[in-house]
Amino acid sequence: MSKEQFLQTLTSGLRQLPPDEVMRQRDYYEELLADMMEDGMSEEEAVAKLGDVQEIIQNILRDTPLPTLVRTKLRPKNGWTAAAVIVTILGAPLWVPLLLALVLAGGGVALAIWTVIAALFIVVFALGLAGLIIFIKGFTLFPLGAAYVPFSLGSGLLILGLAILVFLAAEQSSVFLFRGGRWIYRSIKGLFIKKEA
Amino acid sequence: MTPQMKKGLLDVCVLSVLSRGESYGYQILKDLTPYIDISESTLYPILRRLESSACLAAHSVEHDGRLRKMYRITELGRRQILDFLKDWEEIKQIYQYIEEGVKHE
Repeated sequence: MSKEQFLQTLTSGLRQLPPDEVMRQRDYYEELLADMMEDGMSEEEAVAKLGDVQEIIQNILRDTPLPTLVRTKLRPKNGWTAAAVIVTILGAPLWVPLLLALVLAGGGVALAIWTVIAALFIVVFALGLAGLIIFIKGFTLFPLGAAYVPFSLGSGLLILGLAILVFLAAEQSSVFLFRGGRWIYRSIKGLFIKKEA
Repeated sequence: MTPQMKKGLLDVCVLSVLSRGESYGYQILKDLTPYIDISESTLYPILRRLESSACLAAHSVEHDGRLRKMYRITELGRRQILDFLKDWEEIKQIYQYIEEGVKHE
């Protein structure tokens, strides 16, 4: 692959990014290639050293924040011409609710995940507190009858033990939920990254 | 080395190259290669990140009829290196503690 071919593939692969960022990337690789060739490498060798251009493109897109990808994806093909602006304004009743729904749906999923995590730990806290109160209360139950004391102490310990088990389960589930949430975010991001054949 | 560990190190490595004087992309890569595995495509985001966090400043100079982007470390960048060295003192203590644990087994 020649230097020109490499740079062409790179710029066209990155067209989803803001134009000034594409220029920066292009300048960076162009300068590197020139420096490598000045250092005695042939053009072919220099390009080969950079690695697979498609892989470079995918890595760059993956590291780009989601809002940037969405913004450039939604940019009209010929830029913001008067016609594009008018169509966008006229289309507002259509795309504003859609966008809002999308953002709210995303926010809803995130909120749901965090609520479940919070709920799990509230259960742990409630069990722990109940176990502790029943255990301590056990010491004061002697006037009611000697049998109440060990019963209350035992129940308290049992519930405390249960709290520990639920805590371990809650911890694992939180990690799982958190990973799930991240996976959903990445998948959504993937929708905005065009796969090159 | 785990990727997270390397990521943190690479930033400081690039700053360290520049603390020895102004440099440019290819030269930075050449200077670092003997010490740490760094590819052309990993250097770009590092330079970009360090530039936007004002740890380094860039300007273009003409070289051989083309432009070359030169990078210079800033005061903030130098402070980052010092912070790293300070953090490393703590890590050394943790290392010793972990090592003693292994010997204890």
